[in-house]
Amino acid sequence: MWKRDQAPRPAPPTPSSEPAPSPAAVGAADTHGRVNVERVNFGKSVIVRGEVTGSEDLVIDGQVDGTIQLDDHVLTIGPHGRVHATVTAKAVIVLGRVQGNVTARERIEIRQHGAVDGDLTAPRVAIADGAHFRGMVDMRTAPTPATNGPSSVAEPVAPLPGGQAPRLL
Amino acid sequence: MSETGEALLATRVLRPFLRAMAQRTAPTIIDLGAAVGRNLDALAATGPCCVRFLDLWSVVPQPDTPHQPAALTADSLDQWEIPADSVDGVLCWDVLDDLADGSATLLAERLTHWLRPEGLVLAMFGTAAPAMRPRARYVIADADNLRRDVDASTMRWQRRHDNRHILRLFPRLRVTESTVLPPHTHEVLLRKPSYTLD
Repeated sequence: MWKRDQAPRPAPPTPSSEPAPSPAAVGAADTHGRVNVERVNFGKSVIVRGEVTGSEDLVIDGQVDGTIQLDDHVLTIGPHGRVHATVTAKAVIVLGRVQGNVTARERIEIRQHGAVDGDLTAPRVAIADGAHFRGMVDMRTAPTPATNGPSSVAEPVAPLPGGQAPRLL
Repeated sequence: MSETGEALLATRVLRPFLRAMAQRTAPTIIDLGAAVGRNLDALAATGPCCVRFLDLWSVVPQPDTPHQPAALTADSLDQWEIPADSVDGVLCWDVLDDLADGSATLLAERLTHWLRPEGLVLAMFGTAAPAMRPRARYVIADADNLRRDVDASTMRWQRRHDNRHILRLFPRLRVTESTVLPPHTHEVLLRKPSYTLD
């Protein structure tokens, strides 16, 4: 079983003079575009089998089989990430491959070349052109108070930033 | 998908379909195509909902020769465990045109079974003569327009359904909208009545 206390220490913060981020950091997008200093990276060579929990944002560019639970944090599956797990997080961004059901309190994004086989549950879900998805999308859950989502069923959901769906009706 | 062409198609049935979904509480919608982000955005814009992408072509075996229509079995539909009377709307697109007679009937029966009373099916049928054509995917541009992306690498035999065939496919549904639009598209919106005539 993988717990935060047993997790490998995150890489020390990259000095500003570093010319380029590591491959794992390239996909470490944050849903709010902020610089995130509390973040753990699982690099390409890391393989985890069991339960991953934590209280920091997590970027996975390796392989995880089992469950991932980051209730108040953002999980990013990097371009090299391979996840075969049930995933729960505040927000989930997929650039790699996920097999399993994904639940997020705020939002789920499958970016271009990302792939998910499983069911998605979140108030907001975005699937980019060029992404692969097979399963069900359940957007019936109420967003958390911190988000600006709808407060009643009759009120339409606002399009995602960058999404191209206009108000249709 | 190697897109080899795309065209904008006017639609008269999408707006009433979306409006009907917006008037329901947390509707369940089936999309019989591959997952398309813009379509999901359009459905989400009507309110909280649940969308099942059932990519039919991922479970239908390829026909032995390209000039045969695809054949569907009940087993392939059984893998989707969807309760009866649980679905508010179906985006069927033009998949019925690509199926053999018995398979189209089988799928239409199953959709009718899944549909709850007052549920809707949006379906499109080609009006051109049967021929080999590339398979298309439909992307919602807005409530009145669809973008039709075709992939020349997925040529299939597309048949033609006339009005009588469409009614025969869905004997328990009622046509609420029916429009023939250029080029060669007959689109219909069918509703499951809350009563049965049997």
